[in-house]
Amino acid sequence: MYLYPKWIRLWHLLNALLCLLLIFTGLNIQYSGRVIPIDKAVRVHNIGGIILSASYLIFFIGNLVSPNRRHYKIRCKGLLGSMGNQIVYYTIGIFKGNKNPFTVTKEDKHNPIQKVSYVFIMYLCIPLIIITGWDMMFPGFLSTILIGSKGLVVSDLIHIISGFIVTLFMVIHIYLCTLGSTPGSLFMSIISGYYAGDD
Amino acid sequence: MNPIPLFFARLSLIILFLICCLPVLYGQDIVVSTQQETEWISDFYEENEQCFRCHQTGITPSDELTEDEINNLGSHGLLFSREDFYNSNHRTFACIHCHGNDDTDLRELADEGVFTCTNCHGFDAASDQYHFAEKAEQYNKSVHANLENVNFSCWKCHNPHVYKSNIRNTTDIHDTITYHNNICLDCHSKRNHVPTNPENDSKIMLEHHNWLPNQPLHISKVKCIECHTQIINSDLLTHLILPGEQAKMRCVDCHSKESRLLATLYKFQAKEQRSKAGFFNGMLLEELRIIGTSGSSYLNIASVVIFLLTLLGIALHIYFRVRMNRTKLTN
Repeated sequence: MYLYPKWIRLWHLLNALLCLLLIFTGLNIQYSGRVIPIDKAVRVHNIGGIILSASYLIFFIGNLVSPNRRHYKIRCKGLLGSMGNQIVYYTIGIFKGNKNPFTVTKEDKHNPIQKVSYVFIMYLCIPLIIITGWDMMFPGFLSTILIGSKGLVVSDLIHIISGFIVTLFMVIHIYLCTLGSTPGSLFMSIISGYYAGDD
Repeated sequence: MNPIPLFFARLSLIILFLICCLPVLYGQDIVVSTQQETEWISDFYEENEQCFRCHQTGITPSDELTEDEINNLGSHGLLFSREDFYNSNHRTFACIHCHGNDDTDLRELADEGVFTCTNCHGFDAASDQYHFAEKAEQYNKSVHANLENVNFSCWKCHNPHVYKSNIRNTTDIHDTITYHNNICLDCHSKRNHVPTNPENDSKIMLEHHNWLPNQPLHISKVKCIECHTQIINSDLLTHLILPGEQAKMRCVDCHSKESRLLATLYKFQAKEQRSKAGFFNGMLLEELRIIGTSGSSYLNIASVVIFLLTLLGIALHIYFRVRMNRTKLTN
């Protein structure tokens, strides 16, 4: 089943590489150049952040104008129940050999947990990281005008907390992608575009 | 069509509200209340005017002084601003207190030797609180002491005609930072070349600091000496200037609970904040005030614990998956 159009795959690859690069350089900045020198980490982090901003614009506009947006729509009715079912499957059912309560279709490719987490990350955390990142790259404007002289501290807090949440998301996301019919099948799907297994 | 459903619009509003609440915790400006200085007129004003007739910046040629003589005075650093002098630490002095006595021929004063701070300040009880003798010791170990062969002395940074101790009396920490950094830039910028390094100019100074994220912000908010001196806890303003290559370049030197800035520049403010906000709140604010999460041990610990728990969860999941697959194969 062809599930991932070319633009989504290219964007996903770019986004994944940028996130890994930004997490790595971000940790280097936070812990003062333990692996690579601080000046190089800052420069690469800034350039990565600018490219991530452009990449996010592609995702945002792409989702506005293409049918892909339907995969990010969440119906509140029954949401908690279906999320609960999915969590029970991931934590207990999968070990008993139960069937996945969610069936992937062309119209609905994300299960409730994926949907909620993707929307949370892509429509809340990433925008917050981008806005606060720009605020720290060009200090004295946004947060300082909105909040005052300590605005940069607030920006810094939001940036690092959001970055931490995205890091956790990346770890869990990559692990859950090994839950396909074979451990590598879902990784192949996002490369080829064809979905080849139940997760 | 907007892909964000109502549920997340509400969630975003709640988070936005919480973000707006943050300034209540962290957004308070720190105000150091000090007694405002009032305009002060010297007892020796009239007496000093005799000196300022010739030794004042901006004077024009007259019967007393030719243009060449003015230029000569200027090139030897012998022209002073009257306003700066009467705002300086030595404003209560008459010029002749240091420059000879009533019988001295004023024209010969320039030939007298240059004083160092400890000539007057080192060995009397009144000066004890300023630790001049200790500062002299620190200075002797500093990189500046090596420049004495090119006429470097206390005067280079603390010209007694204009120097004003700033940090103890400031109402605006940023004025203090600017004032102190300008002292360094007097030599370390194109305004006045460092004698040993004629290539040095402000452009080179900025290039040396290119590694700093948000360079303009750092330079305007941190004193040069915060990174270029060795911290001595008992001394607010250490004079042990380190060679350039030994300057502090690690973010956590400032952006941490043990920040160098809290040992020096923001020491008074930190105490002030603690007394205003209470000890516990003060400690929290103190940690986050300059930087952010990177400086908060509480958030650092929480993030490590959450991350390890996540990895533990994944490890357990893998273990049960492997066990299930083995059971399947056995059956």
